[in-house]
Amino acid sequence: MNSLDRTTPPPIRPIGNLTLPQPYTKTLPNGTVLSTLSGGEWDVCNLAILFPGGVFEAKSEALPSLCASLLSEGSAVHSGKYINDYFDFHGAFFGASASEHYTTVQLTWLSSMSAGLLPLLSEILTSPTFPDDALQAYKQQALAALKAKQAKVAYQSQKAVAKLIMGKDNPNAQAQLPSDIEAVTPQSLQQWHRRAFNACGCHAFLSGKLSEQTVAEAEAFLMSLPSSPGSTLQRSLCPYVAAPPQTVTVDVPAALQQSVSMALPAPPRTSPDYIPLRFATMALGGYFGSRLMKNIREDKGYTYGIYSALFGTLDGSYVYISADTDAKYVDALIAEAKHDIASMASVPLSEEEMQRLKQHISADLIETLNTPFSIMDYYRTFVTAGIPDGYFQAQLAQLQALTPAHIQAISAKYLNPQDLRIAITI
Amino acid sequence: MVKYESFTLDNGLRLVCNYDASSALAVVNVLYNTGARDEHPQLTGIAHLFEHLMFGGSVHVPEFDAVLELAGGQSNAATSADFTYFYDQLPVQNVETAFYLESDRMLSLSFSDKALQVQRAVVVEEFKQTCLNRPYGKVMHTLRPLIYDAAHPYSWPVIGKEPAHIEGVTQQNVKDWFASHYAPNNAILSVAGGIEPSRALELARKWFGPIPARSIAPRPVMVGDDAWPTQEKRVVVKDNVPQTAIYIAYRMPPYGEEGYDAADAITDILSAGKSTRLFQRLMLATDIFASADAFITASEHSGLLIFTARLNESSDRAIDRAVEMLKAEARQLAVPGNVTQYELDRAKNKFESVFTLENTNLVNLARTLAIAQYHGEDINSTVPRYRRLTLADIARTAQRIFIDHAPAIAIFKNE
Repeated sequence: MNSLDRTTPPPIRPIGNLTLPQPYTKTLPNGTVLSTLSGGEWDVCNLAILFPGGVFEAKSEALPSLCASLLSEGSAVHSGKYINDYFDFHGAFFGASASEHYTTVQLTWLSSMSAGLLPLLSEILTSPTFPDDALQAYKQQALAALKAKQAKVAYQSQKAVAKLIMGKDNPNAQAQLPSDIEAVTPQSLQQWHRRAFNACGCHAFLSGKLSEQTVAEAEAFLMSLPSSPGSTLQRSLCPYVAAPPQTVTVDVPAALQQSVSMALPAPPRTSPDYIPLRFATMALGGYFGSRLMKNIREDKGYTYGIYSALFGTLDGSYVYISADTDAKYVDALIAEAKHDIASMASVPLSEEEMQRLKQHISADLIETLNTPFSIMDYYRTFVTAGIPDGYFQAQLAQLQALTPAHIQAISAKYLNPQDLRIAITI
Repeated sequence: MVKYESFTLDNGLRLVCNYDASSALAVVNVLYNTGARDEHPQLTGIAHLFEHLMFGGSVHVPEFDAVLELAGGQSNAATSADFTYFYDQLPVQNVETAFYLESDRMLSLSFSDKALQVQRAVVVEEFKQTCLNRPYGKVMHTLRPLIYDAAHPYSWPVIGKEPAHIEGVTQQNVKDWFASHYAPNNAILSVAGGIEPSRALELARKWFGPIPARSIAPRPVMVGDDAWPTQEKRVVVKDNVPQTAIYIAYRMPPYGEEGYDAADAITDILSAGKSTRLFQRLMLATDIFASADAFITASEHSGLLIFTARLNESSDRAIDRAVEMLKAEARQLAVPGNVTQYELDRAKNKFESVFTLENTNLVNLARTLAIAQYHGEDINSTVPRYRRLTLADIARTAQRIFIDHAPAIAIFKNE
């Protein structure tokens, strides 16, 4: 025991060069783009299909979401019971959801139990029936989920600050209403399905331990989907329009804790400032050793967690800072957060902060490489968030050249406490 | 098939290693054989608070996360009634840093007063955020005392009975907790990812080998572990909740005993997927249920099999009807022939699929390996064991849980 020096940590080795494996991408004759990436030790496959058209294009959160959820509840050939039973019996996971501009359909399965899964997936994407009894049940669930969400202070403050940073008319800022859910009918679902589920314009991502046969079956499946060239849904962008800096309060009755959400405008993903600002936002509150976490959680004990992140979407970007706290700490928490934000420009990152930040970001990028599924998830966000090609390598290159002065300069430009939009629940 | 190798150091520390040459990452997991069930009934929540304090500096490392982050690592931890585990994920070339850090905090903490003061406040905020201020957040505080004897260590939740217990933890309590539970002979070190087992063994010997084995506190007697209730208990909690919710908890066999896997399968037959009984018969076929689910608490001693449901109605009549429908779903599983071979096979396929998918993630794999090692089991035997379940096993277990014994029921409704 005496010979072991515990006062000196083991030497740290630089993470070095990382290369993001490139999927093989081709366009099928019906206009579908297919990207494939094979790898991993486990006999598992995942197919994710992005169909253009989501909440913004439908002008409703409920319609595309219910459409996605109800796809497996009945087709022209089989009942919902049969379809869900088939997926469950084969240990497969089917899921579908709608985001801002896309509807994503996913199937995950064990290679040993793949028989008949893709033909069934084709059937439900081609001829869903949206039975009324299932729709009623799903609407009840959606109403219940909405009520539960509305009871959470974090949801209320996040929606309120979204109005300030995105503009009150942005679909992401608008609180969903029970009437939006109640308005959905089998007819409106059919109409939306016809508009949005067009193989021409969709992008499929196949990953896992892939055999030639699996790829061939996936191609045949994608070719079986209806395709209408020229009628791909047009994207309805809604660029952010920020309100002037201000603080708003939201009344949430009987809450024992309060929630604070703060936001700052940010440049688009295509801007040369985006990546440096992402690094600065991580240094501020993106990991355990960041300034907000160290000061507000670890030194002051005001909250279980506080974080900051840079969000970049097709419609705009913003820096978001959020924490739940006791009512008696709200003012102090905001004051400390403003102090930490201001410090990003005025107090350069110490050598240790800089090293921790660089290593954390490198580790974050390495985690992307963990499995073929995580790599494909990364590529999927290229499509859904409009990430420019070469983003991974650009981050690595900029990270290597990053200095405290770069962080200060970018923070002085974007991380100004006087620009904060703040929402507090009371 | 998961490949792994196991070793035991002279001080009693067990090591289990999986090697994936293609991975640029490594995960180091330390599982301590201690949890909330080791707490004194008047000092609940200390196991979880201690988990937080393990990040507050050790004897040679003032800031755990500073060193880990410099190595490009991330960490987290969790506490259950039975176990506490800590994991570090980092680039494989810096894996030694995790051995260094985990061994130093196993050797001794710094026991700083500032860390205790801050983490007590952080955990109290967590208590508020996850229990007091969240709809249905008090469910386990309600159900557990109803179905366990007050002296049974599963009668309180991991977060603690009340914030006052956490606020009352002293530095001496913390030191005693460490001395009596944190030791190499009470832990399992598991490693997954791109580190070869021979290298993992070398690093374990280097960093953990010199830590002396320590005397471990005997685990508390599980008072009334076999005394499952035969009288139903029911409470109505009026709270600020968006929908009326029902929780029906039955006692179930401990891990490793006859009936444990069957109870797990019963919940899969009931609710693993949209084709299952609760979804098809309750959610789709009636207007009352907004959701319905069943799960087990996966405990080392007699744990819980819990039904949960949210209702679209809140009248007493609707609540009574929903409770009866859920209990009827439970009871009929005991009738021979009620569950079909097809349903059981479907549950088995789903189990294999979930097990495989979960363990593609290195953090999950390291934890699964550690728990299998604790149980003295081969991780590759888990799925085959589940696959050996028969319809008779299901009916016999359902009879014991649902017919021979009675549940505790908690109804959460709006004030």
